[in-house]
Amino acid sequence: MPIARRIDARAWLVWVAGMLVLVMVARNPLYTLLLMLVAWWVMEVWRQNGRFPQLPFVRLGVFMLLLAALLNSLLAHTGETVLFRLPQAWPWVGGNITLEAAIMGAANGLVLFTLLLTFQGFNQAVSPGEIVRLIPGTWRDMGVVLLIAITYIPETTRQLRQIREAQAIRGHQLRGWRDWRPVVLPLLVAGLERAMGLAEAMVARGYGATADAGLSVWMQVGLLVSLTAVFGGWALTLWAATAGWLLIALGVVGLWWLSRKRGRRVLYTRYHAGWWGWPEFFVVITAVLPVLIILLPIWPVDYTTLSYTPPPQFALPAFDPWLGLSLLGMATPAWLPFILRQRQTNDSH
Amino acid sequence: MIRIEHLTYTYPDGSQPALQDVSLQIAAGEFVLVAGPSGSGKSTLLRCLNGLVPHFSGGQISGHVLVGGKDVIALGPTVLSRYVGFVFQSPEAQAVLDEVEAEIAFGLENVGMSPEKMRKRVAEVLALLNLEGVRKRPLSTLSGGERQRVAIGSAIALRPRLLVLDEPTSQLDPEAARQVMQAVSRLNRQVGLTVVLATHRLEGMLPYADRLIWLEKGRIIHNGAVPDVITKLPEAPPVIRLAQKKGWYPLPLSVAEARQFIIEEGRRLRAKFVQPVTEKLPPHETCLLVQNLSFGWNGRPVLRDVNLVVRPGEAVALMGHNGVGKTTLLRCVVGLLSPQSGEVWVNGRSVNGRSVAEICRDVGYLPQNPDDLLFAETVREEIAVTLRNHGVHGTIETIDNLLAELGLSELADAYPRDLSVGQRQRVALGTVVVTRPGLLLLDEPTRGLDTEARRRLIAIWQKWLAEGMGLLIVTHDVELVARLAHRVVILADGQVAATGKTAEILPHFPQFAPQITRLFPGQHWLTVADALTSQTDKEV
Repeated sequence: MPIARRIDARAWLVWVAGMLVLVMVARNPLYTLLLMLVAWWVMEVWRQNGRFPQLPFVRLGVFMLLLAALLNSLLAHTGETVLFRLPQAWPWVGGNITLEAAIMGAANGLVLFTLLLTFQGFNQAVSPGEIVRLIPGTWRDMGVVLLIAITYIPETTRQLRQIREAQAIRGHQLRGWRDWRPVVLPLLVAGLERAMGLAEAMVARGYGATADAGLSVWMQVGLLVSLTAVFGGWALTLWAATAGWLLIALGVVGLWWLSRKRGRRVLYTRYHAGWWGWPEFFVVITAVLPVLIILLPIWPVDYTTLSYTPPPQFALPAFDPWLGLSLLGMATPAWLPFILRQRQTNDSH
Repeated sequence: MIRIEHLTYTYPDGSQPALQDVSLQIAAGEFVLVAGPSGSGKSTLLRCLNGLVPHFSGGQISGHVLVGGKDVIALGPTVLSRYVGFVFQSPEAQAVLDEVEAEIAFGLENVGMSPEKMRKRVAEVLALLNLEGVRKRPLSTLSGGERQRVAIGSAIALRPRLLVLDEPTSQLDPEAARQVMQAVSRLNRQVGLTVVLATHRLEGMLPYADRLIWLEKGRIIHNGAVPDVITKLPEAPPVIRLAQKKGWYPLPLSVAEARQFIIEEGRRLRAKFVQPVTEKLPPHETCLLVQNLSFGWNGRPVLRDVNLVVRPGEAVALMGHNGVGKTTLLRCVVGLLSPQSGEVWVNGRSVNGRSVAEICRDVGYLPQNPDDLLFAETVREEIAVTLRNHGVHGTIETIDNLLAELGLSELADAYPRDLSVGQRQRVALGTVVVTRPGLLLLDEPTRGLDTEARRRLIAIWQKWLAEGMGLLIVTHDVELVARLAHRVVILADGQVAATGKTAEILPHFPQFAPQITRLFPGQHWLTVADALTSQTDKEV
């Protein structure tokens, strides 16, 4: 069923930021698992947008978990439950291979996989154009370049497949690095041709027509001074922390002011002003609340369950149901479309 | 509207001028077609109208180009974007954003138009091009014709006074091409937009145009009203050739116009439709046999129970709208895709369990873009690579004989990517047939080729057909089908909608029929020669 109404990109950004904070702070695999399921649900619901090709996520998840477990157990030899031993003489990997190290590795793999799902869900829900529209007018040129870079990825993937197929029908097989030449060369040429074609099209459509916002001499000097303040302040923090941070703050204010000044000279308007209604408000509230609960230790929940360190001996992670419940707030973008669709159906009746 | 005086332009590193002493005037509201062989300077001339040449391309330019009184060479493309809308050949290559209305608004955002005015303008453009129904859709979900109309919409959003289109229909199926041309014509007639359109294929374009310009080697050879110029061209569309032979006056430019003459001659146009039949042959009598083949993509069926036969020495055309599954079928045949069910037999052997390389020793497959195949330093080396890949020990004579057959002997040591489109297509063809396969699959083999390049390829294929090779051609080029194909298979919604002899099937599908077939429905004539020969013997 199609999505009834899109959610504003700014609300999505808050959701992604919330997910990142929660995944990084709540290092208990049970909470991570919960967040992973939430991210998966969101991704599945917004997949109907059909913006990005689907990856084999089950296989990918298993692979990431196994790889992280393997690497961690080979490189970290902590823990008491020894699975087997590798000769001590082997560099890096020699020593005890323990269950605890493998579990820690798998937990890290789960974190990475959850991040991947979070960004995939975001990509499904928000078009590159919407993201770029959030960039201030000052950085409009950079934004368009970024947008083109994003949209080039699926196109280049398609072209790579096409060229590999074209070479395969000539009997070509990839065995060593030299065999990549018949693939890389046409891909490079095609990529350049595409880039030139797009550049031509953009110029022909007036890209840069009124963006006469080059930096005047005094702005260039201002930029230089502000940057010097930022980097100089950073160096100064080694000797005089307060003075250093003050200088950095001054530099940042200078950069912000220059950016604002330049932005006013860029004649650029936005077609989509964005849409902000109760769904966006709801997404933001339910994304911010779990973050506040986890970051501000003033709530009646067990904060010790947030971390999990199995070594020296394996034990199941603890779980606070109230903390778990608060994390479910991140699932709002997954169930919200059902409510919106229901309302739309009721309205149409 | 346009005044060009003594324009001469040479590309950077170009040995000869791409345009030589071109002088031209086009009045406001005119619809002008620019035609000519590959490399004649059509695209260059068009790019001079908005300043992409020389501002984007570099090179040396002399003379004057004025559009609406503006000096194009002095002002450049960014300024000219307000006066000249430009539509490129490939709809995919010119899209910046990924949603229809955002894409149309991109140019308006660039000039800082107010959001209210922008919304009004976008709504106008969508209505003008019949795109309201897809305004919120991602571009990737649109058909080729819709995407090209979005490109036109993006170009006219700034309300230019001139619309320039560089082969806008070359990648579209006939129906989509017709939709695009009708949209352009509406802009010309209703809005009064001046239109300059470059094309290789004049069929279907002539009725819309006021004037035709023929370029050769960077010079204007003919410039005048369409009926005056079209009769002087090396190969005019079939309806024009027939009209010339019959002495019809005024010259009809379309099938609809030509029909009036047939009615006036008192001939009855009767339909003699023949029910298409599905043939069943044992695998050993075929070079390709596809049996009950089905294929799906992300749970969506693309091909359903497809049956198809190609015999030795037979050319079969596979036709259907863009995205109907034609290329997917070819990819299933050579093993690039694994069908969900059904079987494929090549030269009497099932392809099941065989690798792509192994299958392609028996099947030559020329994909849509020949450039995907080319990477070697010389034409000869390019062909030798295929032999090495297949582990076949071909001699230099083997390669040289093939090059001679393809008319590429003199270019054996040339860098393949430096060649013209037609020559590159022949090199690519050489790379897939050097193993002398019994079956050749061609995917849009004449796309973007001029008449001469197309004629040379047809001659090569006819020779191979006479030697017993089987051909399966996926194409929108209806005149190619008329000249080459013995049988036609029409795909619709992933299924075979009809199959049978070309002359018997095409009258059922006017959207895929050549001009002569549409002009004489039910008569089973495909070419001008068919019509002339039959008409001399009996009344139609």
